[in-house]
Amino acid sequence: MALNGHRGEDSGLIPTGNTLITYSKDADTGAVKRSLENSGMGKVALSSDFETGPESIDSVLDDAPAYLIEGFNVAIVRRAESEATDIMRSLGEGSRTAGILEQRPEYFMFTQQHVEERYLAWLKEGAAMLARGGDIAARYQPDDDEEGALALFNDTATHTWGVQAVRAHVSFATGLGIKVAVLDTGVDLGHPDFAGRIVHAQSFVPGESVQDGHGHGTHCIGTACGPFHPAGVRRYGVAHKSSIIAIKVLSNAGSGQEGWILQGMQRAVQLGAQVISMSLGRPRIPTDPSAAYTNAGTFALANKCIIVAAAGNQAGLPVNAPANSPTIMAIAAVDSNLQPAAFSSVGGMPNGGEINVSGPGVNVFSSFPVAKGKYATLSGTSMATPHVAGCAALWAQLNPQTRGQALWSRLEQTARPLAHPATRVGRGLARSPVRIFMPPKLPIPHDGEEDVEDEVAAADTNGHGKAGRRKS
Amino acid sequence: MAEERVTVSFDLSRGPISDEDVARLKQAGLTVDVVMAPMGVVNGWLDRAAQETLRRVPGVVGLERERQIRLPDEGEPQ
Repeated sequence: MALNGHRGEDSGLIPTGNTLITYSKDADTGAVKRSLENSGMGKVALSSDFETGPESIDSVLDDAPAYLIEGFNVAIVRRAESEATDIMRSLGEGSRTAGILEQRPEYFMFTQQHVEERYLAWLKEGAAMLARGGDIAARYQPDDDEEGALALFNDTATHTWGVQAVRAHVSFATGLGIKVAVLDTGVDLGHPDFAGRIVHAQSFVPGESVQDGHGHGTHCIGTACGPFHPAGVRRYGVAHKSSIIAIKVLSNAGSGQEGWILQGMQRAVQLGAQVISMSLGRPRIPTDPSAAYTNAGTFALANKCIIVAAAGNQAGLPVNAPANSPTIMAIAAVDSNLQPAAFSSVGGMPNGGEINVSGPGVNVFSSFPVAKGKYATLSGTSMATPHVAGCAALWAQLNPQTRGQALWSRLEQTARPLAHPATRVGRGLARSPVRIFMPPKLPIPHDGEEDVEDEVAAADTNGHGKAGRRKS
Repeated sequence: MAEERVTVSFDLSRGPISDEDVARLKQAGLTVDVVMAPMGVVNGWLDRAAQETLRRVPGVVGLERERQIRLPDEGEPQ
């Protein structure tokens, strides 16, 4: 990935407040160090001082006004020293003797490739805040909840609206090492977007191979696991480095016996899937929740796996089975305005009949069997479900303890709250993990009256310029 | 004989389904097809008249008629 540096503030970049000093590769490091120290800034640290590990770096830098990165022939003078003095002037003729060549401000640097302008703008905004404040602290911000902001998403040349809405496009997680099982109509084994990604493919449909003769399964797998750079089309997959388990439980005609589905669920768990995505279901019956599906969900959770299932497309009617089992997450659909999809089934029934979270489910672009056009745009809770499965894989990648019930909770806790009843959208829109910079609480005044953390969180999660408010 | 395809579920807190459990199901009239022992589920065929007998098998917590699941037609929400 290319890094892009600039030479001045008028080019749009932001100074960190530190100063970079470059010295000749032929210079004696000790002489440079002494020269800097003689300028009155105190003891200068060397990068070789950090060899004992990252913990020692903090302790050294906390005390050092500057440090030399010996291999790069660069010294970084910290903000306070930079502001206190013109280093080159204070060094005088001694600097030339020591081999010091130039000093210039240090700037924040940004990735240039594969970063959307909007994200870059947000990143620069965050960097500007940090520059005003000084120290940098970075941590995950999984609970940056907000409400009230109406976001509008659209497919762009680089990402589907769904990938953006669940913020997979700005997530550092990839799903690497996580197995996502999709139980559906199988997969197009020859689809170039899945080359090298399918670790297991199996059919429980008598007389049919796992090859997807329908299209539904290939579409769902694409949404959950599609690649980072599909050739010639926008990114549509969430967990782009996850391992794919394709299990065919619905025929090429789009139907299947519940026995096949149950066998597929058990098989997926036995194969070590951490996430099972099921974009299928039948209308609720009075004896639901089904003991068999509930057992399947219990078995999955006990084996560090969660099952997410489509709530159903029966507008106004209760959640389908198997999503209405208490051990299986029910996924509703929202549109690109984050409004509940009109067709999405409704939660509210007890003991599993609730909606847990929502996913993008209207006009979803994803893969399709090559013989049927390679890509297609579909709508339904079937499309919302694999978005959530992909998010689950991203969260699971971050921590081996985030499995089963813990992963379920993480998905709910990190969902973006929406201004709609839980019976329609559950806890809100599922989201991917992103890393954002969090400056400490600072006494330094800055523009506006908003709390710094709130500003960062809103910029992160909204992405459309409407600042939301933290719930509290 | 009015046999239908059914799914039988066991209390998972007892652990996986045992051979003894399966034998009891057969004794109760179930024609066993697939045993998913770790998950506590068995598929098979059962005469409707035998339903109550089967429900009394120790550990059985569910007896459901197996249904078909069908994706919506093309053009409808999926």
